[in-house]
Amino acid sequence: MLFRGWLMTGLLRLLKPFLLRIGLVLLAWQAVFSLLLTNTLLFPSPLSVLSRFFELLFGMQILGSLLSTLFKLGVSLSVGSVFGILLGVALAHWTLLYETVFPIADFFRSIPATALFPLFLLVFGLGDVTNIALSAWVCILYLSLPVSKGLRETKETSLAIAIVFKKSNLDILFKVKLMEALPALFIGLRTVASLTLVLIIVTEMFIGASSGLGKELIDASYTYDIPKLYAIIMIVGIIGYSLNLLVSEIEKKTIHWHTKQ
Amino acid sequence: MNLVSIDGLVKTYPAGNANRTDASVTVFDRFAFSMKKGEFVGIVGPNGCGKTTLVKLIAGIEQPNSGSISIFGKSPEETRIGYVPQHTGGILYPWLNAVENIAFAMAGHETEAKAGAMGALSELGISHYADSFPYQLSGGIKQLVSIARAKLFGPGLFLFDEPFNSLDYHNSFLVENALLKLRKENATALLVSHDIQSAVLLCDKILVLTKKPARIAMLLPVNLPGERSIDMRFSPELNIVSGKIFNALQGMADDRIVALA
Repeated sequence: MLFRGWLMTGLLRLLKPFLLRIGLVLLAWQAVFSLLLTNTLLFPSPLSVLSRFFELLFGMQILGSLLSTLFKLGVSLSVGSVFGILLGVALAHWTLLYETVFPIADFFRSIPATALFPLFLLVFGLGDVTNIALSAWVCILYLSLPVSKGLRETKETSLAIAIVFKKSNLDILFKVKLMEALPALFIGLRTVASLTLVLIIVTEMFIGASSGLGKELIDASYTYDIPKLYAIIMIVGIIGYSLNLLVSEIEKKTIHWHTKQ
Repeated sequence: MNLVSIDGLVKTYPAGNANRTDASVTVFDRFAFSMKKGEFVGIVGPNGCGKTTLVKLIAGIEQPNSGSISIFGKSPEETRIGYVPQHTGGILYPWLNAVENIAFAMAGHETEAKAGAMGALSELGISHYADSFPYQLSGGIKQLVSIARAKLFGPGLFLFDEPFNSLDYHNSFLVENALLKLRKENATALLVSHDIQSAVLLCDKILVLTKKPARIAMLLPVNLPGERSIDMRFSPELNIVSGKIFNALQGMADDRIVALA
C-alpha cells in the first residue's frame, strides 16, 4: 500500500509539467484509433493501454520484473561508473597506458555492445550477471575515456596555482584535476545512463533472462498482449526519462559553475 | 640585501609540443637580475619575449635548464610566493567561491583557513563577495580575490603577471588601487605588464626586455615620489618615463608590423 502511494506520488510529480501535452497526445491517439484504423490488435485504444498500464504498475503484476530491471540498472551503473572513473584516472596518470589502451578502447566503442552479448554469455553464463557485466563494460568504456581526457587537459593556470601554493599530488588530483574533469565526466554519465538502460532491456529480451521488463516485453509480443506491450514500453520510457532527469539534476547541482560560465 | 637574485639563468624549450615549433627556443641565455626588499619592479617587453616565463621560473612553476634563482637565499620551491596569474587563464577555480578560493591556498584546518580568507577579503573591502563564484564576479574583482589569496599565502614577494589584461577602465582602476595599497605597505613585487603607464605609476624601476633570448635592454628608475596615487598617472614625470619605454619597445617591434604601419 505504502509502495503504491509512493509510486503514484512520484509518477504525478514527474509527469505534472507534461499533463496537458500527455492529454493532447492521448486525445490524438484516440482520434486516430476511432476514425482511421480498424486493426485494433496492433494499434490498441489509449484507454485499453492506460488501464493495462495502471493495472500492471499498481496491481503489482510486474513488480518483480520492474525491481529486477531497476536492480540490474543500478548495479551496472554503480559498478561501471566506479571502475570507469578509476580506469580514467589511471589512463590519465600513465601516458604509456593511455597510448596503449586508447586505440583498443576506441575500437571496442565502435562495436555494438549487443554483438558482445554471446561472448559475455559464454564467460558469465546464463543469468542476470551477464546483463549486468555487459552494461557495466559499456559504462567503463564510455566513462574512462572522457574522464582521462578531462584529467589530461587540466588548464595550465589551474595547475600553476596549485604548484605555487605547495599542494600535494593527492590534493592536485582530487581538488583540481578531478574537479576540472567533472564536466567531461557528466557528458559521459549522460551517455551511459541512456545506453545502460537500452542494454539492460535488450539483453533481457535475449536467451537466459529470468526476469525483467525486457522479458515482459518479449513475452507480451509472443502472446499478442499488445496493450501490455505498449504499457511496458511506456514504463521503460518513464524509467529512462527519470534517469536522465536525475543525472541532469545532479549535474546542475554539482557543476553549476560550469553551466553558468 | 637582495630579495630576488637570478644568475646565469638559461631556459630552453625543446622543439615540439611545448613551443609548437620544429626548432628549440631559448628564452633566457645567462640572464641575470636582482631586486631588493620593498621594491616594486616592472617588466615590459615585446610579446613572447619571456616575461611570463620569468615569472613562472621565479614562482617555481617551471624549472630552468641551468642557473640559479634564489629568494631570500632559498629556492622558489622552498619559498612562499604571492603569485597572481594572468586573468585570461582562469585566475580562480570556478568550482570554489571567493572565500574558498583564498582558503585553498592555506594549509591547516578549513575553518581557520576560511577565517583568514575572510580577513584578506575584508582588507581589500570585498568581503561582501565572499560567497560569490567566479562566474558571478567581474574581471577586476576576480583579480582582487587573487591578490587577497596571494597576500595571505606569500606576503614576502608578489608576482603579478599582466594584472590589467582584459580589464575595462573601471576594473583596471580597482586593481591599480589595490596594488598602490600594497606598495604603501612596503610590499616587494615584480609586475609584468603591457600597460606601460600603470607599470610606471606602480614601480620604482622598469626593466625593458629584448626579444628572445631576453636580455635587459634598459633599466629605468622611476623618479616619482615614493608615495603614489592614481592622480600621478597624468603627471609629466610619469609620461616622460612612459615615453622612453614606448620608444625602446618601438625599436623592438616586429619589422613586418612596422612596415605595415
